[in-house]
Amino acid sequence: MSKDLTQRLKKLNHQADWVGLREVKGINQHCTARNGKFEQNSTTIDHGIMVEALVNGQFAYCGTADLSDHSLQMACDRATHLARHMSSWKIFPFNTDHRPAERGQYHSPARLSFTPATTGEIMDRLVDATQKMKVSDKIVNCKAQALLIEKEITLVSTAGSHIHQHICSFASNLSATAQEGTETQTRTTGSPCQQGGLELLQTQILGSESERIAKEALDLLKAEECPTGVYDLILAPDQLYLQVHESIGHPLELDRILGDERNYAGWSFVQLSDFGQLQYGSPLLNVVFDPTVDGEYASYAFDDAGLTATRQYLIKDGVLLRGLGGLDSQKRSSVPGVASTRASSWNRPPIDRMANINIEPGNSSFEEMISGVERGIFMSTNASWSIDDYRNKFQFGCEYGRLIENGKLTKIVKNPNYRGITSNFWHNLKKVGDPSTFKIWGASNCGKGEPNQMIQVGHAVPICLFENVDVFGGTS
Amino acid sequence: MSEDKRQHQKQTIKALGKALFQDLKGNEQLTLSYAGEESLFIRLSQSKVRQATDIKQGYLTMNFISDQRSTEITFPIIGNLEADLTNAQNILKRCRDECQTLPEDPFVVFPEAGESSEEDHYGHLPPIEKLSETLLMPAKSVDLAGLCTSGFLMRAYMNSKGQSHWFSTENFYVDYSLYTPSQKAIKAIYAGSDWQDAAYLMNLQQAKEQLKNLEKTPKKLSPGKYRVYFAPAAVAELVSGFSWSGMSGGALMQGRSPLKKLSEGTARLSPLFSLEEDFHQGLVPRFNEFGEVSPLIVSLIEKGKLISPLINRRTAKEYNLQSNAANASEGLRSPRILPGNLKEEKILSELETGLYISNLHYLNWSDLQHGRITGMTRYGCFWVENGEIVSPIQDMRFDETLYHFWGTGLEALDEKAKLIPNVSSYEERSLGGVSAPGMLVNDFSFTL
Repeated sequence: MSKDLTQRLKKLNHQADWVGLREVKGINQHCTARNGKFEQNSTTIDHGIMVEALVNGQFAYCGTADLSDHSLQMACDRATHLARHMSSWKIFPFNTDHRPAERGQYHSPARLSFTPATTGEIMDRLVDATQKMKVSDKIVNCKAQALLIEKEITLVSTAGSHIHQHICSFASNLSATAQEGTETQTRTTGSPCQQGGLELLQTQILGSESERIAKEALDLLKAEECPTGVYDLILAPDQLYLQVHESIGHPLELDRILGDERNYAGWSFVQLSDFGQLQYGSPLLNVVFDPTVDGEYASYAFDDAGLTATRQYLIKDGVLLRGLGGLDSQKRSSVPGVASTRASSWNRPPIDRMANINIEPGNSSFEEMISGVERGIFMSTNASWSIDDYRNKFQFGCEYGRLIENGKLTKIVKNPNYRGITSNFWHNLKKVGDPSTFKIWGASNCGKGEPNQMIQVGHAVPICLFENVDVFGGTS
Repeated sequence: MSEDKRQHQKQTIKALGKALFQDLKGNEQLTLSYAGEESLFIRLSQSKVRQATDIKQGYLTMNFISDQRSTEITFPIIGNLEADLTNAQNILKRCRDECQTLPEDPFVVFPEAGESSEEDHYGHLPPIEKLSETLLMPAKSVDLAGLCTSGFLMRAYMNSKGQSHWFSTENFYVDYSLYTPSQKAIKAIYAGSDWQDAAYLMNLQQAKEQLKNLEKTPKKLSPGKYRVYFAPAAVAELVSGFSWSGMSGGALMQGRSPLKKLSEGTARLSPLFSLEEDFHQGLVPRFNEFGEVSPLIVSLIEKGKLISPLINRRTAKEYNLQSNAANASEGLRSPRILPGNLKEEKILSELETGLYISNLHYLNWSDLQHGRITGMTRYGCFWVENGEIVSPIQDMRFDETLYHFWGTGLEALDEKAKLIPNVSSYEERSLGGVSAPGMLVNDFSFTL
């Protein structure tokens, strides 16, 4: 990182009301093995500075990878000029209160560092994982992937902010495809992802997991189609996390509710007047924004506008309390929000995003949930997702299903899908799993914004039971 | 961008490549791919400016091969040859060190000597100084949300066998939507390389006129099968969704393709349906990450029969197939659905009674093996009776197989195709777009 970004900021000659510098240095490494062989080792090394300037109530940005003093001054001049020029068409009169002066640090809980020298060790483990998947000739494709991210973000401002955050994370996926005749089925580990270092290689890429998914892919070849009808539905955390993401996370983003995302990601069925009033779901539903969970994928101490990040209830006892939006959106909407103004890298402006959005565990064991269901389906591991631009009508597909008959898990079913409408679905939440069912998941590819930005999010959820859900199987 | 600046960028990249190739030892080989841009983004909401961002970025991807081992590193280039070369030489050393720790790559694609190319496209971009006024003054009476983007884009390829390609262009788009007070919307886009204020105003005026059609109370339809006309933007969305492993030769070989049944001959598409890669318009580079130059036309599906999926050199090597110069991800780069004979003035009368769908949203495979796709209707979609628009509809979810909507259910395609620009900007601005006619489909399934 630049030795002293604050000193560099002080050297800038500017006419803006406020200037911030956000320096981002990052390394993303993708490693892939397939069918017992090397497939890809691809690394992106990035480093740049985004200058943010406030003039006449308008923020504007200019990003550069040229870190010289001359280039930084040019970027500052450009951001200032843009802000001044655009201010006659500003959507809201922002001021310096919207960029608080904070100082602090955050470091991910990483024990072992990623280095170029560790690439071979990672690749060997991935190759081995694919070899362990080959439990039958019917397994036709075995793939193992790892994504390592290391990112340093330094944020300084003319108001006196100085924030440094160092984030390390590890994500992986194992995938086994089985084929027999015209039937093909794929089973994966569902892309686990956490903050941490190379030690996660040992916990995420396991030989036992390779064998499990390969055997389950073979089981799916012989399985019946998931039945069609209205069933009780129990969702495993590796599916429920995406249900939370799409039908709670995105609709609560304040910039969507304010209309900024209407031309791309979409709007929201939630209205500004719903906060503090709307019964979003069953009284069993408790959802928190929690950037403090050790090791969860989107933990941090400050957002990219410099606001201190704290744990907050978004939904308590089913009632909507708070939106996902940083200071800009909170001021525009007069709705309480959280520290969630985030940018994908130095070359994009920060916008309202999710971070860690979690469902608090309840008090039902998995066995108790199953035993209470007369006619239901247990679905695990997301395979497909789609939802409308108001976040109402959704459809999800999973990799693996089990029928529940008279309180017992019975036959495996393939191509399990379900669809519904957000509000009805969360009102039909009937049981929330206890801490023994609670698992940390997340995603590396949450897309949003114009220009587009991809960002990491975390979702920790227990197993949950929903009543009266439309369930269906594959085409055949 | 001035011509001097463009030439400076080109010469810097070439000089960087030349110096790096001279640093190679023994059996080492190297390919370099470059993607750079200077982009202005103005984010609009409520016919106001939400954010304005100016970005200059350039990334070089170094693919290093040594003794059947390969590794790839992408890093920023700033346009200062001395600083960039020092950085690139450090990256080369890192590649060299890392390669020694890796297993052999059995399907490594070695660079080859071959044809080189240069293409520079020039444009007339909107004047920045007055852009917010130009965009927003005529939109004061409506609620407009969207993104205006303008700037210069570069792509390049070089390898240690002497092959090189260069592509540069200047373009812009205003990708926007207009909203009624009840929040029904019309989607529009003004895009190109030659900005004309009058053309933007006409585009905006047309969108305002269409907005009037949304003022009636939306009709709520029950799930079921409907006769549907998909406008070109909706067809383009289906093609873009299809690109998500849909045409990949590697995916087909590895059991993760919706084309398995078509490839095995157990299912067919309509003889009306033909899909090809068409590079005639020059909107995207014809070269790929392996240095290959695509033919101007690559026929993929012809009259309902699979001619070939997209096959890159790596897939070709692994499965002993013939490459058709596909890119690394085997995705569609310049797709074109061949038009049919449905005249524009006959669209509503041929639809007769059913749905006119202008746009689709959030497509995903719901059953890959059977080519089934789910997604939503979006923006201005209408109920039509006896060839007349009756009212807008409430958004519907569909779940239908491509073997129906491009197969037995396909009745007609427009006689003219429309270019729908690719406005994606994850990490970098995309190039090109989808050339698609509208299409008339019977018995299309809506589920929610």
